[in-house]
Amino acid sequence: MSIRTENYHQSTVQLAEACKASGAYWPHCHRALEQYGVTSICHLSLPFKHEASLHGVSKASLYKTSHPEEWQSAVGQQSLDYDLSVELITTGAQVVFWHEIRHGQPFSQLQHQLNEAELDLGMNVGVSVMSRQFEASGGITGVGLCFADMKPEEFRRIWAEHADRITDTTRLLDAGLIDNGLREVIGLAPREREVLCYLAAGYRVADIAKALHKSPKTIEKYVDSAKLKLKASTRDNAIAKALVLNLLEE
Amino acid sequence: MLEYLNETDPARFWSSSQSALANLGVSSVCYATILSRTEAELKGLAPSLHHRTTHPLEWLAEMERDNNFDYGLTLEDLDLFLTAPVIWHEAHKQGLNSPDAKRLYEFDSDLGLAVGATIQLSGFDGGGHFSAMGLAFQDAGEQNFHNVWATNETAIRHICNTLDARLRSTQSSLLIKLSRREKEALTCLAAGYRPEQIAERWHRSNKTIDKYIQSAKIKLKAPTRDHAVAKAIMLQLISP
Repeated sequence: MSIRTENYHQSTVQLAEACKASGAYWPHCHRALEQYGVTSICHLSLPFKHEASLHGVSKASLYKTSHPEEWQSAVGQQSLDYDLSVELITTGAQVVFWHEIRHGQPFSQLQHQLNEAELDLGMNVGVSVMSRQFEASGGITGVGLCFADMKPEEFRRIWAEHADRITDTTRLLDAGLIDNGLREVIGLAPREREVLCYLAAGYRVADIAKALHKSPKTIEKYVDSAKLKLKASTRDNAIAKALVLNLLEE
Repeated sequence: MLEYLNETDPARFWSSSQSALANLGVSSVCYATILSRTEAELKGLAPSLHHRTTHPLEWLAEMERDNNFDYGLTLEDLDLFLTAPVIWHEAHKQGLNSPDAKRLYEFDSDLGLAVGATIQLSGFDGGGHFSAMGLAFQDAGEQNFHNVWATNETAIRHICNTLDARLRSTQSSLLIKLSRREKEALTCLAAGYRPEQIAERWHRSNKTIDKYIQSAKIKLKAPTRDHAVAKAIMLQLISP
């Protein structure tokens, strides 16, 4: 396939400026990656490594993906739990090529099921790149890039030539999403963020209600919706995640 | 002189930084920090403050008894970032202090804490933390203090800034010493476990787990569990 550089030619700097001006990192970076043959992507933030082994990556991480719906539902909205590239990234690999890790035996029936679905969808070629590692928690963020229906040789050729530009773009996407408090991923409302800040500073729901001139019921509503967005099982968990991902900074 | 900067063991880091300060004429110190302004708005200054000191034990006992660590200051006072040090004996003479602070100064003098300076290391500015260091110069005396200070201020500030950074991150156990069990309980809470689930996991009673959480809350000066977890993460005491 040919690289459509003439249609969508942007240097990384121009791309960064366009992202920053609009605050929309996801669509800009997505389009920029498409010119290298990327068909769909997934950005993942895993605040705590420990939590992934307890509840599975899908539940423990906050992610946004443009992978086909069939992939997402292949094993009941838990595809990330059985994604080997994610597992390798969480254990410290910087770059994982999908077609290189498919040779081994699947660990389980569900793993097999996911592999089959990925083959059906032509998702066997792609690359996962680690973006950052949280020193305090062992958590990571990363981006998975799918080159659907591409032959491994073709992918290798593109990667050999454009690896720098592609990884720069994934880094830009990651930095933008995280610096904007994952607004494009989970969209914590200003009130929800504010209430989490107060909880982290030791306020009880009643104290917050008083400080914000709202009813305790309204505050509870904000807490619950924040927990839902952060996929947190408890209030402590919601606050811990928000702190590690820097969601509470202004 | 700056070898201690590479020291990773908290106790050795603390004692070698104290020797470095002693070489610059400092006889004892008190480091104090408040992690968030919002916290201090709720609880007041002294109850939000974490400290570590080498001042005499009588001084510490007096401060803790009446929770006098704030010396009568208010949150608004702390918002005015002080680039110049507060020289203890000068502030006292200028009568800037409240009657309470005067009584404290006399008490301090009796303990050999008459001559010294308090420097601010960081200020709230939005979401930040506040920290300050009180430095006693017992041997210098009022006459000699200014000479010692003029010569050594840069080096002293450098050491204090390093202490500030380390005490709030990698060496925070110097400020708050949590037991292994307390840390593990907070880690599980951060990871989304409820206390009952921790009890089940560890084959302990709910009461035992509550005890760990309670003692951690007290050490962290945290009125709520959320706050204890948040503080422990910010101070890197736990890594869930």
